[in-house]
Amino acid sequence: MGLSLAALQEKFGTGIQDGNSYLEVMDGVLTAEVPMENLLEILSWLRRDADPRLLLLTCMTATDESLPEESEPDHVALRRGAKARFRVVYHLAGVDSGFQRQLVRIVVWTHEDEAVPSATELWPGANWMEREVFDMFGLSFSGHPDLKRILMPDGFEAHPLRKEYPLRGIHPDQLYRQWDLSRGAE
Amino acid sequence: MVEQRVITIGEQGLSPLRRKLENSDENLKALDDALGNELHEDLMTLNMGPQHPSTHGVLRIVLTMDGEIILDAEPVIGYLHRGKEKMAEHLTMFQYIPHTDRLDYLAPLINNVAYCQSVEKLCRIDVPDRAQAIRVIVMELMRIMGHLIYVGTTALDIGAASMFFYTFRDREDLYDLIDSITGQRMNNSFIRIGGVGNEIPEDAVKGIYDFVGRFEQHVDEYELLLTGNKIWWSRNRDVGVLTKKDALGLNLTGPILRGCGIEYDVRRAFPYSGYEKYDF
Repeated sequence: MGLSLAALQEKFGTGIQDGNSYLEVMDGVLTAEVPMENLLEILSWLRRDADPRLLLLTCMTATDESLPEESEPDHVALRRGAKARFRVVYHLAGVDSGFQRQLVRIVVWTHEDEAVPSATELWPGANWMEREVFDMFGLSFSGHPDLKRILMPDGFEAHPLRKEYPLRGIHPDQLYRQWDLSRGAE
Repeated sequence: MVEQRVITIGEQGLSPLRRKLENSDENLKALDDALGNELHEDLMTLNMGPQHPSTHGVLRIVLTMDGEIILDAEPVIGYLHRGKEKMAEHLTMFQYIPHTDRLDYLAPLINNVAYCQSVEKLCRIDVPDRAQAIRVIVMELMRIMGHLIYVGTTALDIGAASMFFYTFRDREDLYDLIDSITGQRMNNSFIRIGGVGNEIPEDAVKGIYDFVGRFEQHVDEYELLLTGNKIWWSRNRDVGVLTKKDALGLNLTGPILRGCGIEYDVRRAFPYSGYEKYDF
């Protein structure tokens, strides 16, 4: 037997929805959109008690679902069908069940002011992945032991993978001015 | 900002080069006070690196030392983000294929396939069987090249230089084959959305058969050079041991995860490009 959307809904309520329809991906991977308040509980169940257990967090990232408008940079419009500005996506794989493997995608919608519960307790490797999402998208994770930038320098202020960030970047003079001021440079 | 002031140790009544000055806690504390240091008494912060065995200059480890003992180690992975995702946002899906070569320049074709398969899933494109088989052939050639680099350079790093030349002999042969199939040695961009760039030429097919024929014997040579080699064993055995639990918790995959004793190969677990048809 494997995991199914119905089994998840039965266990955690009808707040769980099929996430495949949003991207219209038909790759056979079980994709569940879950409410934020259930996220950690569901991840924990999949990691510890589900059959098969999903021991491997192969990928954890986020996507920015906004449509940047050059004329109005401050206005954030969302893609058709998007429920919030950001999607945080977890790819979980079962590795201990012979050759019949299971891959599950867990999706949670969020916006920049909302903290996502950290999965570092379940998978220590989530630590750096969450730091990367924080660095690139500016999403914060509650309960993360050491949430700071990982790829961009500490004084960097923008979040480069947000849609409004320009392709060729921001001029360093502009970017670091604030940082230099805070460090007392002239 | 902390106001900096030059203080000579003599001001504090200390003359460090005099023999009778003892390296006592009291004296050291006086020194710290004089210099305005607020340090833990015996701990030292030390930058290890930046260095990395393969690409020099990317990894730095900030160590907190108590004498010779490392109390804390914080890795700083450097500023190597290349912004591939951002570039992808501004390119068409065909224009992005050459960028995937650069994700791992030792196995560009595997990355080509990973990207093209994603697009194929989104656009619901079926790839013909023959193109899938060609993909598998070139991907496996790349995989052999990758393993040859690993074996050769690891041996080189522990001082067994000749091993490196043996593996690079085979690797060059493979590059010639890849060259005749894709037209380039590296950064091939050979995989297309929905298929591959061109048919495998006749002489390349013969070349692959020849290579497979002699490679088995070459693997025996590598075994002879390394498997019983005392230096190889003493430098690798019980070094950097990773338990199954840690390997899974840290999201490792591929050869490292298998090396930790977990039978997980993505080609078997979630077959793509017709891998389910092959026995390996």
